[in-house]
Amino acid sequence: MMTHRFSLILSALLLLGSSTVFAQDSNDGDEGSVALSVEELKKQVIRLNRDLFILEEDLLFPASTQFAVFLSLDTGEFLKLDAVKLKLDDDTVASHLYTERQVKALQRGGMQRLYMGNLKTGSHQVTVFVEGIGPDNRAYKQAATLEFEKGTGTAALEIRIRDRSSDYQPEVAIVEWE
Amino acid sequence: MAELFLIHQMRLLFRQTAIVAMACAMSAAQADEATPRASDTGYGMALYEYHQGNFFQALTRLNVVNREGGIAGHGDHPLLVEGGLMLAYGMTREAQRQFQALLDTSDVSDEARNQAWFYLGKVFWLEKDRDASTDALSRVDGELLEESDPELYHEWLYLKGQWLLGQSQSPESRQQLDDLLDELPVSSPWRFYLRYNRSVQSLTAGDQPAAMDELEALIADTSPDQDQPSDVQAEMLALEQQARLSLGRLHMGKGDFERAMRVLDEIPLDGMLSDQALFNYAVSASRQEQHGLALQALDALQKRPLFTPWLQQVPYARAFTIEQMGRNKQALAAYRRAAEHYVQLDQRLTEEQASLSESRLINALAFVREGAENTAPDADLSATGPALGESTMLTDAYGRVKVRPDDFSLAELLAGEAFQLALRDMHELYRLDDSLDQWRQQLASFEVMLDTRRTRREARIRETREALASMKVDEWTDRQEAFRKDIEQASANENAAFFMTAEQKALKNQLDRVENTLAGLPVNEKTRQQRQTYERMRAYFDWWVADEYGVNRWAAVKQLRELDEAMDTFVSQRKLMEEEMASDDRLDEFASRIARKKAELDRLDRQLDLALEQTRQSLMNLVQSELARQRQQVTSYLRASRHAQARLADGLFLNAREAAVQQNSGRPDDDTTVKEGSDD
Repeated sequence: MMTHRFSLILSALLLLGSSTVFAQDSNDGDEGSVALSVEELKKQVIRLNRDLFILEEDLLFPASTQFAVFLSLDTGEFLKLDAVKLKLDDDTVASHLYTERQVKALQRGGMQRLYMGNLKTGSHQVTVFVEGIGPDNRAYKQAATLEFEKGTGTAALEIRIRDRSSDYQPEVAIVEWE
Repeated sequence: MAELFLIHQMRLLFRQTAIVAMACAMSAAQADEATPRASDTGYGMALYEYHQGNFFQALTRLNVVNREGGIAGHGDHPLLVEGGLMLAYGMTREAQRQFQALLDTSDVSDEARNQAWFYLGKVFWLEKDRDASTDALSRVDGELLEESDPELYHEWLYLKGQWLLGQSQSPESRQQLDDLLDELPVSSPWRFYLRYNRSVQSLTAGDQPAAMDELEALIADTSPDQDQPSDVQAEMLALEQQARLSLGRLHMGKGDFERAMRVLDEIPLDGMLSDQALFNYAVSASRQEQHGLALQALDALQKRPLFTPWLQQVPYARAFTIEQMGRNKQALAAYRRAAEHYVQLDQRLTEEQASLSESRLINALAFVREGAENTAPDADLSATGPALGESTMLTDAYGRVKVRPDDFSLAELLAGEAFQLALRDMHELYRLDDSLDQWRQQLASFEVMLDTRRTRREARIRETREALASMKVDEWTDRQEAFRKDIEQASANENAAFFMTAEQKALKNQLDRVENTLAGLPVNEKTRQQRQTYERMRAYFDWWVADEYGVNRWAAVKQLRELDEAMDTFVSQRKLMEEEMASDDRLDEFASRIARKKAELDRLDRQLDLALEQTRQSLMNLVQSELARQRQQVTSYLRASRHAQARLADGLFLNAREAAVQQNSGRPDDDTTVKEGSDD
């Protein structure tokens, strides 16, 4: 009789899974409807988020004065990016410390908007300081400067960090977006 | 065995979702190789969010770019990325629409079309629409997919294999499955999953020997590949243990407990399946009459926190094993302790059921913060763990939150797909709610900003009006009009004097003065000559003025025209200024956009509250059912423990009485009394 009871435990153990499977199946209907409404909500919130982003830009950064600086990383084999500081006409307007995830996102083709602001028409100077770990695990720091003319339309610059295969060194450049 | 299948299916789902996300990312990475940098800043920003796993922000960015004219220079790739993002963000229906729209477009590259068919098949597969999934997957060009993305190709082979396993088995389908398996690399987890599923299918079909052969072969073939990423190695190790556990249980089912023990013995004690392995080992040892080994295994389990509900049978099983060893007094004590344990557990579960609320449920779960994923399993996460909705919450590629139970009664429930999905929805809804809250604050600050702009504008208008008033603008207009009339009249009368230059006017004044002087002088020889000189001068002057009339008139008209132009510009500018001062169009347009968005936000907020309530209720229902189920189990263990307790107590009492009777009648002690005495 004892052995029989122990066998019952074993049977209960083996049957436990099937009851869970049935319980799970019975929840599928409810799950579906909630999931659907959540999906619809996500869609609507994304749309609202989009409209609000556009509204924010229209309101805070009108096209005539809008100025943005982006940062991109091509491969990043010779530089492990740590930090970036951006100066606009001698004022520090942005600085950023990078997490590993952000660096990976940049290496995979992502582009970070480092700064967004308003700028008057005329001549301006932008300087970027890039810090990280360079070749041979040595601390690396480099700056790049660009003088540019801000017209009456939006202006965008890109800080482009890329590997230079000629001397196995990273290269920092600032380029204007047309 | 069904339990194994459930665990397996869950793991499959997790695995499969992780691969989908990886595949999307890989596609993006490959496209980036072709185009070293994003040629569209909006798309670049979306990729930046996407590769960080911020699907909501990435989708928003893509939406913004699409709204502002679309993404330039990346072909169909953004559409695939957007579809993949939707899939990863749990928007399967939207993803389906996206891939279908891509396929309906005529000018899509073959590669993109091929991948879209694959993803569409994947969407249908996730939605359990087998026919649609099969149809979509059959349209994928395997060679092209292998060339463009080998990882996706392997996943495609796996899905096709799953489809074949779902079909009724024939020699052809078996051969097809063998061919698919041959295409998959030996070290691929997909190959393992397919082979495991094939053994499951054999078992379902009643062919237990085939199932066991497959599992044995699978265990033999699973050797660690150091070249694989560490997470894949860990997964393969877990899969091998799963196969061993399944095989051990099949041996148990056949009554071959010795083999079962050998197979289960290979599962490491610190492995994720060691609890189940130990328990099954104890059952097998007990059936082999090796009670010492069974008790050893159960003691090892008893020392562990009785974390999962199914482990609650251990106290009873332990007492039973001791009883099997003939130590009835120890067994009686063990049954008593087991019964006490079950009574306490039942009380606790009853209290939990009565006081269940969202906050209590959340308190019973320890969420993992991003960056803390490598924390030891027994580490206290409650102090540092994020709350639902926090952006730093660690989630998998499909938004499922990484969570450990602080309360063992939730452990099994937590492993269930329904609970995981409800928890994911809850987390997402809180995140959306948080996002709406932030926008509400932002809109309020926009309103303040607009009010400030209005105030500044009004001040400027006031200043402008005062400046215009001080300029006496109306007088200028009158004078311009009078000047025009004089010129027109003089032109009509050919009044040369009117158009004289300043020099001519000065000379005329001089000549007039001379004429007046001569008029007052007596007539004599001297004045006669003076008068003749004056008349010559006057005649020359008149001739000169007449001669210069055309030139002078043209100069005056030119000046009038320039004045007209200047006045026209001034008048139109003033009109614009007046219009600008009279209306607040731009600010009004912003204000109306803000008002519209606020209304939309309120509407969404209400819907969100409703969805949150539904999800909360769904979670509560799941937990309530789970607690009820556990109470039922605990009650059965309690009843069994008490019955055994009563039975043993009766036996011991009867034996003791019999012994006393025998002692009184002068007979020697029997074996039982001696054995019972040894328990002490």
